[in-house]
Amino acid sequence: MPFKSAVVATLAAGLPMLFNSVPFFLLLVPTLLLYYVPFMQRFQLHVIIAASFIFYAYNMPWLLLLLIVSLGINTLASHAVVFGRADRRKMYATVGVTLNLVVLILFKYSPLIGRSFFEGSGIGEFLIAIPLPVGISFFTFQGISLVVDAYRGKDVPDYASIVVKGMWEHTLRISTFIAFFAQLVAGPVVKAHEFLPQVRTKYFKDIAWNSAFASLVVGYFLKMVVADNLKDQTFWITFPYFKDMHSITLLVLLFGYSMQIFADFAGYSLIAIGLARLFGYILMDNFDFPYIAATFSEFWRRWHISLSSFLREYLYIPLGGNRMGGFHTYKNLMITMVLGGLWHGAAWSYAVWGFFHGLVLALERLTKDLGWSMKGKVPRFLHMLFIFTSVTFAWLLFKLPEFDHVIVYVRMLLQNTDIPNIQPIIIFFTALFSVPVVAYHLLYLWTREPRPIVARIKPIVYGGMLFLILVNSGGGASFIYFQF
Amino acid sequence: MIRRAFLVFLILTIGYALFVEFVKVDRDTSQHQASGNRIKAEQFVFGTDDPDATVIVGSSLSFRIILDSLPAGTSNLGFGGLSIYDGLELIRRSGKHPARVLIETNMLFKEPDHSFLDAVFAPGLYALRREIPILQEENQPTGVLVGWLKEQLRTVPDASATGTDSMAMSQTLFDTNMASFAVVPPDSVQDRYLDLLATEVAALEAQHIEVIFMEVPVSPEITASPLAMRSRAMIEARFPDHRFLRTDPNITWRTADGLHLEPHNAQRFSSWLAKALR
Repeated sequence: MPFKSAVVATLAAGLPMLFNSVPFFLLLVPTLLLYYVPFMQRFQLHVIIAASFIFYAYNMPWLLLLLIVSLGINTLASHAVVFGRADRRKMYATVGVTLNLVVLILFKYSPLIGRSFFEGSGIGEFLIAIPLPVGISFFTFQGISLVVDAYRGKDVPDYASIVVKGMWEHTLRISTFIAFFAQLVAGPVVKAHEFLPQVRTKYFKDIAWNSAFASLVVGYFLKMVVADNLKDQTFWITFPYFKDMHSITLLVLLFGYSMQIFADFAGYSLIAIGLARLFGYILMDNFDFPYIAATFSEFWRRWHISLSSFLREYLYIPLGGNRMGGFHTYKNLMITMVLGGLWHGAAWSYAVWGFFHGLVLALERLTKDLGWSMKGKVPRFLHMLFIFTSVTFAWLLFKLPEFDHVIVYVRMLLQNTDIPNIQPIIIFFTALFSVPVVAYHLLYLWTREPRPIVARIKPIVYGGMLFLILVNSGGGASFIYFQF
Repeated sequence: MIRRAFLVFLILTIGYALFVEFVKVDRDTSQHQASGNRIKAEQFVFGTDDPDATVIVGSSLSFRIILDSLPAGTSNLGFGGLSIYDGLELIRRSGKHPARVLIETNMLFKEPDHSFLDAVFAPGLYALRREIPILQEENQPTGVLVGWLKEQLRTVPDASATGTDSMAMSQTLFDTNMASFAVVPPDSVQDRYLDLLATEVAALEAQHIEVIFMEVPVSPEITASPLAMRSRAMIEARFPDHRFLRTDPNITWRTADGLHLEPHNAQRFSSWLAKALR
C-alpha cells in the first residue's frame, strides 16, 4: 500500500478510547490514583496530559501529531499575544485564530470542497482523501477561545490566569485545557476563561462525590442503555429500507432518533462532566432539558449550551449581534446558524440544517420585534410540542445526509398510511427506550416545585439505572458527536 | 446517597440473577438484528464443544434456516448484516471443534465486521459473561420481556429478522439487491476474499473438520446475476474437491426481496438441507 493511502486508511479507521470501554477504565483508575498521590501533586498537570495523549492516540498514534501541532500553535500564539510586542498583539491573535481555522478547514472541510468543486480532478481526489481526525472541531474551537480571550485582555474574567509568563508552565496549562481527555473529543466546548482559572493543585478530599456520581450514572445510562439500544431501532432510517415501512413506524422511528441523539450527546456530556469532577474541574452543563423549550431561542439556550454560547460569544456578537437591530440581527443569526450547522459536519445537509434553525430564529425575532407574540394566547404545552416536532424533523438532516433521502422519508411518512407493515417490535422497543428521555424531561418539570419525595426515591432511581447499565446496555457504538 | 444506590443495585442484581437461574424460560429474546446475532454468537461460544456438531456459517440468507428441521446439535452462525468471515473467525476464536462446517457461498465478497467479534470477545467482559449469565445478551430484561410478550401474542413477527421478513415482496429492496448483484468486483478483490476463505478452510481442515459449501436459493433473477454466477464459478474452481450443496435450479423459491427466503420457503429449504446432509 502506498504511504499516503496507508496513512489515510489508518487515520480514517481510528477512534480514541470510548468512555464505556474496558481500556478506558484501565486508564482512568491508575490516572486518578496517580493524580491524587501526595508526592505527585506537583505533577498533576503532567498526569492529565499523559493520560490524555494515551486516550487520544490509543487506536491511532498518528493523531497525536495533529493534536501536538494544535497545542503548539495555541500555546505560542496566546503567549505572544500577552507577552509579545504590544504593537503586534493583534497580528499574533489573527495568526493564531487563522491557523486554527486552517487546521479545521484542511482536515474537516477538504472532502466537501473536493466533492463540491473539484470532483474528478487530481486536486479533488487529494482533498477527498484527507481524513477527519476525531475531536478536531472541539479542540480547534477551544484553541480559538484561548487566543481570543488572551487578546481581549482585561474584559475577560480572571484574565491573569489565562496566560502565565513562564513558558513551560503555560504549555502545561494550555495542554491540560485543550487536551484534557474528559472533554477532548466531543466537548463540552470549554472556554479558556472558564477552565484556566480552575487550574491549581487538587485534593482528593475536595472531590464532589455526589455530583460526580450523579453525572456519571445518568450519563452512562443515557448513552449505554437509551442511545445504544435506540440506535439498533433507528438503524431503519436508512435508505432504502424505510421506503416500505408504515407511516406510524416512520413517525415513531423519527421520534426515537430525536430521543437517541439527545441521550447520546447529553449522556456523553454528563460523563465528561462527571469525569472532570473526579479531577477537581467543573465543566459547564451542556444540556438543560432542551425538549421542554417553548421557543427556538430557548431550545438553543438548552441544547449543546457550550457550543451555542461559544457561537454567541465568538461569532454572533463580534458580527454585531443585535446591536444594529432589524435586518442586521436576522442576517447575523443566519450566518451564525449556517456556520454552526457546518461545524457539525462537512456536508451541505448540515448547512441546510443550520439554515433552517437560523431562519426560524430570525422569524421568531421578527415576530417579537413586530409585537406578534403568541405568549399567553396559546398554552405553553402546545408551543413545546411545536418546537419539539420542528426540531425532530430537522434531525432527519443529521440521520440522512443525502438531502434527496430526507425528501423521500417525508414523502413516505405521508404516503405509507395504508401499507400492512406496521412493525410492532420496532415500535415497541423505540417507545420503550424513549421512555427514560421523556421521563427525564417530565421529572424536571415536575420537580421545579420542591418535592420531598424526590430525595427519598433518588437512591432507588440511581440504583435502578446502575442495574440497567450492567444488564441492559445496547451494542457498543461510538458517540454520534464523534463525527463532528 | 451513593451507598444506598449501590445497595439498591445489589438487591436488583441478585434478584434478577435468581430469576434468570430459576424462573426464566427459554424463549426467543432477540430485540433486533444485532441482538439476534449477538445471542447466537454467545450461545455458540459459551455452549459445550460438541465433536459431532454441524455449524452453518453465513450471512442474513442463512440466518433464516430453521434449525428444528436439521439434526440435533446444529448451530446456525448465519448473521444478518455480517459476512461468512465473521462466522468462520468466531469458530476459530472460540476454539470449538465441530464435525463439519457448512459455508454459505452467496455473499463471498462482503467484508468481515471486526467490531462484532471484538464485542463478543472483549477482554475481561468475555470471561465475565461466560461466568455470569445475566450479563449475556439473551438475558437482557427488555429481551426477556418482549420474549414473553411475543409468546402471549404469538402473531408478532420475529424482531431479529432483517426487517424485510414480515413484509410483502419489496420492489425497492429487490431493485437494490439486483443492482448490487449486477456488479462483479475486480479480480484483485475477488482473489483477496478467496485467499481469505482458503486460509479459513485450511485452518478448519487442519483440525479434521469437514467443510461443505452451500448455496442458499434466491430469486431466479439473482441466481442468474453476474455476481452470483461468478461466485459459483470461483468456488468450484478454487475448491474442486469439496462438496457443494445446491438446490435444483428448476425449483422456484419465493423471497421477500430477491435474496431472503420467505418463512415458508425457508422451512422448505431447511428440510431440503436436512435431507442433503444425511
